[in-house]
Amino acid sequence: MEAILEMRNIVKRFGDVVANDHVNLKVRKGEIHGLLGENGAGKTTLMNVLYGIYQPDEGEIIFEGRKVRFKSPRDAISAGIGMVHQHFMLVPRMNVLQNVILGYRTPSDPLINHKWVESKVEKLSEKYGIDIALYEVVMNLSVGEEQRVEILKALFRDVKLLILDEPTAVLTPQEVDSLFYALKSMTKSGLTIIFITHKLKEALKVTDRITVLRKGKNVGTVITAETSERELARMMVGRDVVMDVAKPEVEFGREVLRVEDLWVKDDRGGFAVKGVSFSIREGEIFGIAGVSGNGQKELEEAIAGLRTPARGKILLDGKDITKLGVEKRNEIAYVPEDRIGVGLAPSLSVLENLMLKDFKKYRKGLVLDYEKMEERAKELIEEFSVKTPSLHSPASTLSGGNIQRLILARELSRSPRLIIASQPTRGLDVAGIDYVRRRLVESAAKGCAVLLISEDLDEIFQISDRIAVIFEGEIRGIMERKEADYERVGYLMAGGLEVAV
Amino acid sequence: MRWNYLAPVISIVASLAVVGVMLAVMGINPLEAYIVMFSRSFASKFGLAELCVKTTPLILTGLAVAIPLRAGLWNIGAEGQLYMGAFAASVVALYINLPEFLVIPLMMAAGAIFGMGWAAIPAFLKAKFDLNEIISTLLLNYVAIYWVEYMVYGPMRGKEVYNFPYTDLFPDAATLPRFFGTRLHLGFLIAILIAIAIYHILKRTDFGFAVRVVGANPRAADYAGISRQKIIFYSMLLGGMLAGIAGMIEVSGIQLRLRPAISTGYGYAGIPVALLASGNPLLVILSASLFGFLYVGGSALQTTYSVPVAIVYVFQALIVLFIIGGQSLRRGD
Amino acid sequence: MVDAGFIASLLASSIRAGTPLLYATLGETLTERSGILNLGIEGIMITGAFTGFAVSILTGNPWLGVLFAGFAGMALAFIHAFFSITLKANQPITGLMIVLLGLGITGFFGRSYIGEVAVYINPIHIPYLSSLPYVGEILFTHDPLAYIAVILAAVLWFLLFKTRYGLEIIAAGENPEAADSVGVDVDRIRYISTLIGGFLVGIGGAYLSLAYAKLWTEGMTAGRGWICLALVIFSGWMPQRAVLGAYLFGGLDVLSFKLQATGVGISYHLMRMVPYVVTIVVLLFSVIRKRAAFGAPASLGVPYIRGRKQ
Repeated sequence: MEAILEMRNIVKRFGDVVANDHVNLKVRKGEIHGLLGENGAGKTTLMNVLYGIYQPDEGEIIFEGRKVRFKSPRDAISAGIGMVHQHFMLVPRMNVLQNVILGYRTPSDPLINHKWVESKVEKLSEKYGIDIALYEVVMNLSVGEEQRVEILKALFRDVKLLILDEPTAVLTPQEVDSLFYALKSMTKSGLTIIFITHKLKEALKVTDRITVLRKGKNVGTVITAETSERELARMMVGRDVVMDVAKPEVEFGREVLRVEDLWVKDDRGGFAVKGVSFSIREGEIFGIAGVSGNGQKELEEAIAGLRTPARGKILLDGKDITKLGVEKRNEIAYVPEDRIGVGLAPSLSVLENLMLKDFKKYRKGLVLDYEKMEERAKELIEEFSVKTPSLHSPASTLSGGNIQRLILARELSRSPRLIIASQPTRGLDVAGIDYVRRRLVESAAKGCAVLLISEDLDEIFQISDRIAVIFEGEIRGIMERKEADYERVGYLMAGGLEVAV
Repeated sequence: MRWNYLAPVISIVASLAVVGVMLAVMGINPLEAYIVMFSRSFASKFGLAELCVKTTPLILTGLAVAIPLRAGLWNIGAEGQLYMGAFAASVVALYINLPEFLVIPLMMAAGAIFGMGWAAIPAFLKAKFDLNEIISTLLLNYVAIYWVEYMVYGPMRGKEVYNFPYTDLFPDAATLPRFFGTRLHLGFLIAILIAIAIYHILKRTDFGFAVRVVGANPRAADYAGISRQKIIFYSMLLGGMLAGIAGMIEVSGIQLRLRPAISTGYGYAGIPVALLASGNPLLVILSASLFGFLYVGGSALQTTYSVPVAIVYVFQALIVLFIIGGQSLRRGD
Repeated sequence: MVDAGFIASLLASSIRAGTPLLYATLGETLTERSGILNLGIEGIMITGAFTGFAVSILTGNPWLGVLFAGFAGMALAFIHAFFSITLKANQPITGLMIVLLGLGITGFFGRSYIGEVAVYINPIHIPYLSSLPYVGEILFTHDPLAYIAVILAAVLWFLLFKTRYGLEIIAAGENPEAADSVGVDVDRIRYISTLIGGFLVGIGGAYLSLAYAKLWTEGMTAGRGWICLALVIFSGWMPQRAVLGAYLFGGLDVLSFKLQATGVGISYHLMRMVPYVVTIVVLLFSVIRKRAAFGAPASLGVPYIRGRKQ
């Protein structure tokens, strides 16, 4: 079959980070092509390059046999490419019709020819089985309906290739079914679809072929009918050189953290954590694996005290801390996922950042004892080998690895009972990764309980004592490391369900 | 780093150039005009005294903007807080019988409390409902100004002022001592001492530390267990307090009575003063002097060339625009 | 004392006092609909008032004055647009500086025009209709600009809600990312809306000096710019409602004068506080009831940067 789209050797960098590293993608006309990978694998970046939102640093795009270069989405649209973003691009206060024709010129332009739009939409509805009330305000629609509006927007512009970015993330199972049905019928009418997902089951269910990306590179393209969940999981998760930090076996002590039936809401008011329970003992590293956005952020924030749970209990050393503020949870150290946005005041000095949580302890009369603070900061810098020009340089001037060391210095030096480390090595170089993992292992050896939240399975496997998988806010299986293997964890991460063993 | 020092200089020079063009359009040689501004401000003890007199309220309103700005908040309400402070101080001066040595301290306390109270409204609305403080502080300026007008046209109008909208003159015990046979008064010293005190408070206390964290990264403040709402509230209150004291000093040191238009935009001028000093209280003294100079120089232009003082507004606006323009360009979005 | 004649003349003057507010409110409505918050109305209005007055004197044609007042408003609005859209600077602060700039420039160049007499725009009494009892006085004794303002409100309503341009303007103010994703040039739309908005605000100023007060003094807008800001909120960003709001606030202004003249015991100064207090209360309602439900463009005052992670 002929290819409608070919992306060759696409490279896209953001600063030092290579989001797409010589990626190739070939999509055939009339197929549903799955683009599978973990978060951060570069799927969305690749599609944004195709759609003209980003310009590639290297590589070329061939669409319908011609080399193209899209400077903006407008170019992509007029060439016949449509995209339904993960976050819908709708204006909530406008009605469906207005959203559909936004940016489009109807025959009586600049007036809006409602009759013409209505009849065109009617034809599309008949052809593709998408039914939607044109004059309903988008604000009042369900998420599934909003998605239909997005798809209608693309179809209305007579696209030939439709990109769907994680289209099922927000849908109920019934909505997913009807979406898949609609997609199949669209391809029958000659449309080509690229379907971005990190869920194996869906990829298997709806696509014809699947291209797997991992860490910005493509791993390969397979025919859906000839592959299996296990194979895809292996391709998706992959295996890196395992480094030599290993968690020594220790006797676990008393229970430090206990989480009971925890329910936490996200910023939009839906439940991101749904009835999670687990416990961690002294000396234990408890690793939670999972693709970002499955409730990790809300879970860690609830335990750290930044987010109030809707239901459930958090106990620290047997004491109920569910309702306490951050300042009353001094026994918890927290290495947040967003180091610079949350864990640091980048424009303030290294000294101030080291003292971010402890400055009140240095009060001498009315003022703070800066001499003592500097003394202590020097010790910390020494102990954690933070490389900085001086104590008074802004923290933003440090490298990524040193920023993480600074945060570790502040957090670990407060003799915590529990350490929450979220994606603690993301974006670090090998030496930095090694250092952070060693530190966590050491802290555990000293009797801390460690909650490690990571997308990096190597990391999870390397230093955890027990491994849990989080998917859509639920814990899917807790296992001893010895019993765990990559495929099983990868399978659970992608939404697989464990059959009773 | 170097940009931080260069930006204000470039902005001032650029503003001087633009205003120079405006002067030239009016047929005035800008160079000569600038020389007049200089000589009038620096060449005599009266000029220097006037410079200090104009600088005094600007130091305080500059701080009133700078402190909340350190916590990431725009206080556009220094003008209104100044008026409320002046009003409260005037009430004490005119209507309360006190031992003489207590009059000035009590006026200052009253001014501080009313300035603070006036700032507490937008601070509360911000902390509680996240109501944009820029607009609320600004609108409250008008309310405060009309309040003072209402008082001096009505209940507080003096017995010996014919039909003018003034209160009676304050008794001697309610006026700040003046020096060297000029209008230079104790308020100047007070303002400088306050600036130094604020510098140390922000630099050395735990409150100052918390303000810096909130201003630098509110999410990091949450993360570190620093109560953002509290810090926002208190920094605004502190700002309002200083603007209120500025109002007290203005009526007690210069006007010697309450009347409308006691401030020629000192509260608004506090914004460029604070921006030029990049929020540093000691530098506020310096940038306030610069704007004091613009005020004195502006009135020198008025008497020499009959150029309206409004030219000072143009200066202020241009300096701020150049500074924020420069910042945006450097951010390089 | 308060009879039908009093009320008729009060209503007629409310329309006159409300017309400059209406122009400025319509201008700001357009600007804000596109997502740009321009707090500089006070400064733009006073610049329009001065420019209109000066040009009318220089050319002897008040209509040229009105036109140039619009251009002057546009020039100041351009500064705001450049800072807000191109430099993505803090919009409220830039707007405030536009106010200072306008007050400063007009104070500076305007001094020599104080006390001068320009050629003004005069009311036309529409034959027959104006001699109707009461209604004639209220509705048919105004100058052309007052009628044009109402027509303009209708035109703006039509533009915003019935055309593709309106759709794109509203989308730029609500969700610029969505607009951008379907190829709408958000920056261009915001520039144009801000410039036209400035033009209308400038005309509002010219109305003040050439048709309403018929004189020029420094700072003659006397806070009307801020009132218009409140009016935009008050009218829920709807041009058709702005008409009523402008006349209402105009009436409030007239009433405080008239009451003073008739000796009713409410202080003029206290009356003048009312619009500002009302504005704060309205704002408070709008934040408590959440923006979406209340009607402010969802991205008002937020710079749009393409590709920024949300």
